[in-house]
Amino acid sequence: MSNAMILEDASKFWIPTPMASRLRDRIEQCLQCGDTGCVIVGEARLGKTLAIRRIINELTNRSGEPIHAFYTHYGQRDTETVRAVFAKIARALGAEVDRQTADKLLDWITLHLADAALANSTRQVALIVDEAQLLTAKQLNAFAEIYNELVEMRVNCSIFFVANLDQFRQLARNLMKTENRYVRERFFYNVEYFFGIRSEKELATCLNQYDEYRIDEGPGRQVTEFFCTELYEQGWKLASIAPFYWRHYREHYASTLGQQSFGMAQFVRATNLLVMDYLPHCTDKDNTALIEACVVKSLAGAGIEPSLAKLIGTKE
Amino acid sequence: MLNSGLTLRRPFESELGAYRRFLIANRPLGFSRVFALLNQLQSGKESQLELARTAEQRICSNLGISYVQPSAQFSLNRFRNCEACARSGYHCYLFNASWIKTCPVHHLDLVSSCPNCQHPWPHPYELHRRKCQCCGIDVKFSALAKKRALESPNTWRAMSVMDSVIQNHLGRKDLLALNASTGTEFDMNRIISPNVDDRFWPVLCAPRTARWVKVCRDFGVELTPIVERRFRLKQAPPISLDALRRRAGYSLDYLVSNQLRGKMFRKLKKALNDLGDDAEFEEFHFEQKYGHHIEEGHVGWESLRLWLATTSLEPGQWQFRKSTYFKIPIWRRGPPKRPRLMDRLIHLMDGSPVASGARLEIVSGAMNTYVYQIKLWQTFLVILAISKTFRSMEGPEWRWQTYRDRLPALALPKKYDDEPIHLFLASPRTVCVVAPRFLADFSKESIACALWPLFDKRT
Repeated sequence: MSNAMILEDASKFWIPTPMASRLRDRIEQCLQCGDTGCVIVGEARLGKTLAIRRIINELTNRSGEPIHAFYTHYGQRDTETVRAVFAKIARALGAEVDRQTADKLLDWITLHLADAALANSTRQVALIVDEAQLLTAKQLNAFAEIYNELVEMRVNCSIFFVANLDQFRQLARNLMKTENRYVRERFFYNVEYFFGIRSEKELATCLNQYDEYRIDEGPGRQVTEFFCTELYEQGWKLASIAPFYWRHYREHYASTLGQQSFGMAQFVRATNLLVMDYLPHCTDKDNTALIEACVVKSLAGAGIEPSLAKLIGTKE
Repeated sequence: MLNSGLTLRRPFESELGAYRRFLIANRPLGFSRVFALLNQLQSGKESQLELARTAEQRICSNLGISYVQPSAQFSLNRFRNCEACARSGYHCYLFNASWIKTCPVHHLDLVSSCPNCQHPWPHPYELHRRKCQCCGIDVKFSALAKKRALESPNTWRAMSVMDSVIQNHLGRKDLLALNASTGTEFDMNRIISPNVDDRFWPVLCAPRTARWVKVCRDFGVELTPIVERRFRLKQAPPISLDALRRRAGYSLDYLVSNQLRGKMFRKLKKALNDLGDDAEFEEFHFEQKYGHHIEEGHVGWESLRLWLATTSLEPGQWQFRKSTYFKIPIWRRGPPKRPRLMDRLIHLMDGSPVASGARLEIVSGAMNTYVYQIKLWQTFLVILAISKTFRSMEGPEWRWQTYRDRLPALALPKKYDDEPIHLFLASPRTVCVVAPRFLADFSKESIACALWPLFDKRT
């Protein structure tokens, strides 16, 4: 893989963002306060999954001991059974799922999580369920059962659900019913909203991360140095374009498309375009008009405005 | 529900070790409750130790994992253990063999009392009353729990295979070093183990066959063990060691297919294809022929596989790729004219001083060492190469001296700078394998690996 391709490899590319660190703090708060769970909701393509996957290896309890977190994601199935949930989790834990009964799968999951909880003296373990909006209220009982089994083994399990806000409303309505109260009270008591970039300051922080992102392994070159060599040599930083980058996004996209935040997927797309294709042609850091034009073109080229909306209009 | 801490099991675990693991895993329940639950398992006169075993057996059968009974070959009244092992909640039954003086992992003396509390190592029945952090049950499995939690149960299965072979076919007398010269023999050449956090005891074993001995002799190389004993098996094993290797081969296949990434794989394939001048190619399918290939190697592949498989890999770091086959040169009609595989391999390695074109000076004297940053698949390749090099050097036309004379052209680095990272170690007339301490810890794409080539200027 060439160095330039590192930015293109979306599954690998990740920069620490203020939103991700907020999410990490929130999850750690839940764990350190003994909460049994939390639901993290956000719109599509904000970067929830990547953020979660990055932070799960960093969770600790108050004494700094590691809390092991397991990640699993759910998908739409024809059969919406409790066993399907157990099977999915067991698979995520490394089990070979064949035709085991739900009870055996539950045993597997419980023992595995209980062993992982030995990593810390507070006997805590976390399970993170992505795409939780695809679960039914009935299937959520599976998590309650895992939780109960672990309580019996004196293990404190916290389950975090990550859901797409647009699709989560249906499940949320179901959870509000009295018969689902015991699930709701366990895991859905805390709701954390996950947003994309919402201010110029956050945008500047993200751009700064781009500046610090190393293209080569080890003490290699930074993104700006690699792609915009001439600007870099003049002491220019990508973070310096944050004011007009944010202004253009806000004026031409956020307000017109009604976006609450700048999703990370869109931001990365636009910035990669800017860094890899437009800025290399800029040679003078004082030529702000040209740099601003590059920003405008990158935002336009990033497909923030959906083509489908142009075709059929934004109204449903 | 009782837990057994099964995921935290390590091979060659003694009864004391297994019971201690059981107690640590269930400690949160409180021991009165644990014993009450144990008693519910089976009425009768079984001891707690046996009941704990029953509990674990049930869990294993429930989860579809083969259960390996901990070894009861030694008296429960007299233990020896290494302090560092004890602190991680581990006791190996081999420690009680009189011929083992030091822990091969930590290089600490095996002692009969706990260095922390000065009491003798606890008998299993008094374990739950010990408050000592070294010999009691107040032990945390932090690193191990975190690591093992991600591992595939295949690792446990592979461990079971190893354990059962060693346990079932080595009698107590054998372990106590009756150096029998007849019967089915089994060489325990070196006991290796990766690092402090995840130590376990793979045994590098090689069958004592005339061919192997000859290869070593011709080659001027001996397997040099930390502890070398030749054991007589109580009986012929139901499966041969070769068959065991074959089985391990499947697991190795798993390792390779898990860890060779697409591009690397292609690179490997290309590299191996380039070696074809003097070799016949055998196209083999992993699952069908890998075992055969492994069988012909001289390295304890099963140990290696276990050792590598229990290292921590970050999720998603080693992408799974289902490759059907690749070509490996196998010299069926004698060796090539020169041992080229190793030569070329050295050039293939990323970060190799040779590959980067650096000219490095050979320093005669103490030690000549390669230090490479190599990736895991390359580690595998190196191992493969070493075993293949053996084969290639078997022929009468091959001369060790010739090979050694050519070595300066390979531009060896001049210093040896990082002690715990040997993968292969060779001093004069010696080749053996040392588990790098860091290897169980590596979490980056590349691991540092020191290759001690099979030569030394002094000889």
